[in-house]
Amino acid sequence: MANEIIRVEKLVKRFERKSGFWNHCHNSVTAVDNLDFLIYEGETMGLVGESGCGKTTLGRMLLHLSIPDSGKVSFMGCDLLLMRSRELRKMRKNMQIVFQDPAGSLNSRMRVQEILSEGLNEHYKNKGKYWIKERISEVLSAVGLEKNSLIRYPHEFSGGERQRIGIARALTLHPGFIVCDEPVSALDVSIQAQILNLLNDLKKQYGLTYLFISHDLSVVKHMATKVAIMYLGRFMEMGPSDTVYKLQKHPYTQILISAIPKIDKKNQERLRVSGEVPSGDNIPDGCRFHPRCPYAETVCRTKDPGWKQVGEDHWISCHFVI
Amino acid sequence: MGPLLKVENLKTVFMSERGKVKAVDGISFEIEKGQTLALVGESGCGKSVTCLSILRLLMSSGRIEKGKILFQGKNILSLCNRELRQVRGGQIGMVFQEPMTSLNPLMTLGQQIREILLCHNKISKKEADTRVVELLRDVRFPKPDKSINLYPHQISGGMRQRVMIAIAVACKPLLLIADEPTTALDVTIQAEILDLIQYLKESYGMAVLFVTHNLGIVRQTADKVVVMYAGKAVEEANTDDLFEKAIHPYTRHLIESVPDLHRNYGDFLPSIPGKVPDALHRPEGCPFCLRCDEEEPVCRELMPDFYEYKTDHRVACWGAIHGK
Repeated sequence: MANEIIRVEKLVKRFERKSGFWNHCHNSVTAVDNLDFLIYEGETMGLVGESGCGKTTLGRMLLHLSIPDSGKVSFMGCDLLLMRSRELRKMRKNMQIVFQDPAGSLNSRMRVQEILSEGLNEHYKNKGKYWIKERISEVLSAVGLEKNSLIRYPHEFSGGERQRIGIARALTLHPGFIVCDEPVSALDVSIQAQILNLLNDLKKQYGLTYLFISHDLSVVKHMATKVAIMYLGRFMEMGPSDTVYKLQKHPYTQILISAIPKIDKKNQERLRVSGEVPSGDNIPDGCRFHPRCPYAETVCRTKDPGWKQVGEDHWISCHFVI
Repeated sequence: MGPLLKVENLKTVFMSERGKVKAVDGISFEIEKGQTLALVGESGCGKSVTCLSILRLLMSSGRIEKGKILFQGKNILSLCNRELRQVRGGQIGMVFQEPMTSLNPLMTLGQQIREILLCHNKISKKEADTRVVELLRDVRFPKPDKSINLYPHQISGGMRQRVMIAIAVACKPLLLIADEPTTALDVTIQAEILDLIQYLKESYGMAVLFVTHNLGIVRQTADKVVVMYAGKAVEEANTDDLFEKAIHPYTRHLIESVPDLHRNYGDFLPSIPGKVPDALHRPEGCPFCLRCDEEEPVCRELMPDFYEYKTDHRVACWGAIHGK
């Protein structure tokens, strides 16, 4: 059995929202609601869901960039919540993140060289300037950028190249685990394929583990070994990528897959879904998906279906799936 | 009768500090009544500028240098401002990409839809209000009679896009220009908006010019497709022809690089090497020659004209002309 990299137990995150006259009304929005899961070494876990379902919040909590309200996140066996800030800082070089917006996540006043050396200067100052320089050029060639990129500024690059810089920055410290938060959703299809191939190559080359967040199910199918489908802060289904896409057990999974405009044939049939994602401050009783579910029955409105195992490593939250 | 909209050799340029950018470089196409035409291409290829040129909505730095835009036989480029105002929003409606920034945050939904009705029709405010409720019902807005007093920030992205569509179709236009109407939305909402546009198209008898970079959407909605690359049209065909038998290497690669749910790619997804040429330094000849794997010497020197490969299927590629 492979080593476990991430262990998440009963993770909860709420955001306080103030409104009304002089902010006297307080209500809280639940972004992540009681999640448990594991990510093993070498896996790519795909996290899919509509906007506002808590994907990004979950990704940030795994890296301790956002502090959970309750629950536990362990990274390679160490509980991140119990760590002191100095230990945590050391730990951080093992876990990195690639952001969605390649333009917004790079400092426009820094040259690529400075962007890439920031982390190295923090963690490997004792190794000397020459070593750091070597490391930077190594990473730069790994992501397929030319050496003269180092003295240029982010605005001189195209979107795809900027995302390569973002990936290079994540790689400089030799991390084991990278959260890719919608890394290709801002890119064109032809560039998107380049970046996905790059991420796969790097994974093989450096033995990386990814959490791959995306709203695009076809991209996730291509990248992930394991998929979790998220809705309003909870997982609806989680399992090996092949199984989830082939069996399409949960109604929400079926709906998401059938909503993708297919390229291979015209006039596709699709499942209709009514309504939109409700907000996290008003989570429906029972199964949280019931207001939009085409198969909902009385029991769905009153009883939480819980988290049931339906196959090897395949979990589901629905009353009617066995 | 001729086509509803005929764009002929349209050239739109922008003056920037670094020089003249040819955003749209000689594009031509036609839309028949009731037809859906999709303009496809990567960002920066000139799709949106083409749309804005049709309604003459370009910023001050942009200029239409050459070409004709014939709408029902009349050249839009030679209309005076008063005539132009009748076309904008009246005979041609437009839906923009970003529903949040295209709605006025200080006006209620009802006011924004009413505005366009009062501009184009001689009706009283009361009549306009009944029409607003009807329109909101047409775009399947929940509780239309109560929602007219809501502000844009109180509704979700999908609902905002419905309001945008309601404004665009308020005067029953003959042509609806939809510029990436679903790019900012989730897949489930996107599917609903696409259904809605299809429904309105049929019930109002509109033609639709659909701009998108999503090939799946093109396949599902369009009758005819124009593929653009770096300001030029490279291929034009009926949707089925294009997806089953694309000729231009760019179109073929573009279709291949969309991840398909039913295919197993192993580790490697087909992609197009290189990047779109910088708008200021485009190659002399075919703009795609730098990324093309079937390049010939002539490609670097001369941009080929549209070649009629077969009826309704035209392509600008030397490879096709030379019969490969």
